[in-house]
Amino acid sequence: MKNVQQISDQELVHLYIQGNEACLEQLLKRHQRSIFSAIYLLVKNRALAEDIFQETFIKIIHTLRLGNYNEEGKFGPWAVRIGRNLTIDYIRKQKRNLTITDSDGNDILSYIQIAEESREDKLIQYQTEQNIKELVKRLPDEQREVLIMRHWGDMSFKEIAEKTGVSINTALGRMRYALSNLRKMMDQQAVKM
Amino acid sequence: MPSKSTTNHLIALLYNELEPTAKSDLLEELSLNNDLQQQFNDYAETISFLDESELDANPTSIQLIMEYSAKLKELEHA
Repeated sequence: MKNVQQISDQELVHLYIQGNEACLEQLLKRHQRSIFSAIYLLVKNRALAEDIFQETFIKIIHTLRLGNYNEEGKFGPWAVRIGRNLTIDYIRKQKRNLTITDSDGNDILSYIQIAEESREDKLIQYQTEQNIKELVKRLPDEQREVLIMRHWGDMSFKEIAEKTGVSINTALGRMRYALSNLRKMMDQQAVKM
Repeated sequence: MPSKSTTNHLIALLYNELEPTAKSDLLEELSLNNDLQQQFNDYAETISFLDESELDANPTSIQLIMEYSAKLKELEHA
């Protein structure tokens, strides 16, 4: 048998369903960072993000064991989507009466963070993380949503274009402006790189 | 000054989403165009900074998930 590190996500899923627990561990190692970052970026609270992260994998485990997983070869984006959806559900429950829409009428709760940072979070975050997230928050909505979906959500530009109802070129352009604006803000603030 | 469509291609290249022919054309243009190269480096540096801001889940969360899965397996075979 190949080393688990050399096995594709698709094979790991298959072997895990057959009872190989080491394959779940490998899937966790490969994807925990993007899943956790996507959740954290929405809630901005580490303890809460850890809870939702665990809940995400419990849902993933049940889906896999029940044989309901059918997105072969795309485990990462699928897992990020589950985490993101659970986070959005949580935020909606917390802010049930609040609806924020962008210029196209889309609910921007789907891709921007609205939760407030806890005092504890401020203490435990590294300075660089604080800096970059502060800067991301300052981007225009359309640029921020593309940045979050592509960089932390593992969505392709094609998927982002479909989700936001624009052309791929527009999605790429928004990402380009987001990166340029981030760069300018970093230069202005002399963020250490 | 590089065109908007060329700079959009830079973004697609950085995220490995450029189709092979366009990728080959762009790489050739990059080797000849200093302005484009500078833009590419700026975007790459910014993306790398974004990468550094990613967070890892706590090892305890990973452990709890593994324990949950093992427990579930035990129950299924009980």
